[in-house]
Amino acid sequence: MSSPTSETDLESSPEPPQEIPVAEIVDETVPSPHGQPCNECGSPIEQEDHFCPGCGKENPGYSASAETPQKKFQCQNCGSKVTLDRSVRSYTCPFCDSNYVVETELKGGPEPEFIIGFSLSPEEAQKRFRSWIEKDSFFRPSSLKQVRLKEKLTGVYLPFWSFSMLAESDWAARIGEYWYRTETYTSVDSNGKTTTHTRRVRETEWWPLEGKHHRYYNGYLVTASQSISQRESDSIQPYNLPALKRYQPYFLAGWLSEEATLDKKEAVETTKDYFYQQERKNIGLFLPGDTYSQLQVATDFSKINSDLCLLPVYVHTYHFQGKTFRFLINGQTGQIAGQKPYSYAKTGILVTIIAAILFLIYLFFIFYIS
Amino acid sequence: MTSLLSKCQVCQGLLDEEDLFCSNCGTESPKMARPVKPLASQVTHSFNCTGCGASMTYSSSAKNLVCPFCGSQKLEEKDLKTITAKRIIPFQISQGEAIARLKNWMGKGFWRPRDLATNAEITKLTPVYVPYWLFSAKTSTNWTGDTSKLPNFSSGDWAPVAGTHQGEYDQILVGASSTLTPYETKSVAPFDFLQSRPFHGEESTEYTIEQFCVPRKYARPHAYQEINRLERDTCRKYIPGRSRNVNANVLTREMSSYPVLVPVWIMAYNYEKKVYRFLLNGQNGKPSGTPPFSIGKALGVVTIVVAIVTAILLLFLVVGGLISLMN
Repeated sequence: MSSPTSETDLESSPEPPQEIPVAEIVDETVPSPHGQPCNECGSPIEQEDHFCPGCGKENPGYSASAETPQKKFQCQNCGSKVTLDRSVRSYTCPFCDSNYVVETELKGGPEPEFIIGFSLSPEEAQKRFRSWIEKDSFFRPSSLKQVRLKEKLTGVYLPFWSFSMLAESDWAARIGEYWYRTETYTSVDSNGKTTTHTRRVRETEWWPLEGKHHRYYNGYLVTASQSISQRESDSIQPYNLPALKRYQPYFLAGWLSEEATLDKKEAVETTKDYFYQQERKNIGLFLPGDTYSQLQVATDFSKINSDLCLLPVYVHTYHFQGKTFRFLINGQTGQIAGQKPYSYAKTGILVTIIAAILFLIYLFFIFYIS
Repeated sequence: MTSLLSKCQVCQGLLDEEDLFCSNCGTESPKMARPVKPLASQVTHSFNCTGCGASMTYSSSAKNLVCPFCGSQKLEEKDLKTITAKRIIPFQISQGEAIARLKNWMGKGFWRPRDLATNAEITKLTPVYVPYWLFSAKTSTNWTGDTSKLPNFSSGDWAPVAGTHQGEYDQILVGASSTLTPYETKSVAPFDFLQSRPFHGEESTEYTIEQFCVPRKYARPHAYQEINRLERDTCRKYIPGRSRNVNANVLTREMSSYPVLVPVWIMAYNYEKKVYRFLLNGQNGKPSGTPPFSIGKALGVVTIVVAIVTAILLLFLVVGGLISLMN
């Protein structure tokens, strides 16, 4: 039996729509099968599937795992709240490198609903860090390559809000339709002879148009952790969201996890701003004609659903010349982003050289003109 | 059939147990407290074709086992648990009629080899129930486009228009066969589901039934694609005159689907050592398939065309020569 995903696409329609068709999006959201083949029919079954999606046979490997005992810590320096294994004895805050952590009996924080597991091992993360710290080193201090991490990298599950919502928009714009007019003009050549030519000139005819647009949006992740900023979290996006699983406490075994501390209301507004920009872009693609101007879009968001997701991140700090720098690694894709020091000496030398060259050019021109 | 597990609270689309999010609107699907009864399935005495990978149940009355999809005789016996169809369309075309239509189809068409109808073995024409997912959905669509119908004062050729449309679809067929290509499953359609009846499995003693090999969640994107295409074609009709830049912004709701079986006469035949497949819609008798291409005929046509072109060129040369001589 062939794998279900190997099925080829239906014939593509003759005129591809400008807006990304829903089907493509849906295709993307269908995760590639990665479970064990079913004993009966061979369809891939994942551990969370109670029944085979192909033939409906009960999955023998299905198990609702037992709760993992955990304890919660709060960092007295930066305020992050982190859950970790009972077995952990000592703990350094990964966000600020502080040891001022106290165990708390906090029962706050909403329960996470979805989770993506770590696919990048701490050893691989360490390798990523090494190649990142040694990369594009021209403006960096030479000794940066000697930086060593004090301890092994530890992965943290960071909380993110993800919202799904329906956008319904009223839009108005001026639509431009091109048309061509032939025009005659005369020119005089070097002999003083006058000749007449014709040329095609493109004109735009403007029409007012208004209409509606609607679409479901989802998949934008807003950080629910006060320890990392939205900009930092954007820098290690995207995550492959079809890999999301329903949250089970056993996912956290051996890893740290941070509690959601940021307000949902604020996250909704951030998401709405982002989706409004997406909607505007999609309406721009949806408009007919050759061009448009003065697009006005009023969008109403409804049917808002929120999901709290835990996503795998390696957050760590390193020290360089007495300063602390932080970097993040996407625990699923391995994408790395963070702060790196600049070498003032090297940059200063380069700026001096450029300034000197510019000054020489300037001098050269002055002499040349005079 | 208890495949109706739950519905999305936002768009009323049908959800599968394995779906964490609604595939249409992205809303989180409700967490099931207790595992819901899975898709109805039945254990059947099945065969797998080692030639083309088709899996099917076979009628017990069949004397010699030949895979109807590829003509191979290497079939493996296997007990399978599969999705059971909810409805079935019975065969309307008898074997005699199917053979007649097949012969007619084979004789037709200029490019087909002349000996196809006589040389291909048409005895292997087999009635097969082919699995499909039957999708239904409601749509509300915003559309835009350019029309060639213009007010008198305009200077260009096009003017923009926009509008809305409400649609309802109840017969979007998506093939669930692992053997027939999407092109084949599409070209054998349409089927009229008014003639369908609930499936209780009695046909499995008489006919070959192919197993469902495409789960619902992999069939769904194709249904969305088809609905989008149909909606765009519908919206195009609203635009007077000629149209261009037609965009349809489709929002789907209340999407549901169930597994169905449709009747197809299938014949896999060898012609000059290559396998071809002929399909005949078992309800309305519409034939489809990729026929062999007659190389002899094609070569003949090319030769004739070249000869004519050469003749015309020669004629021009001769006429030109005569005219210049006369001058």
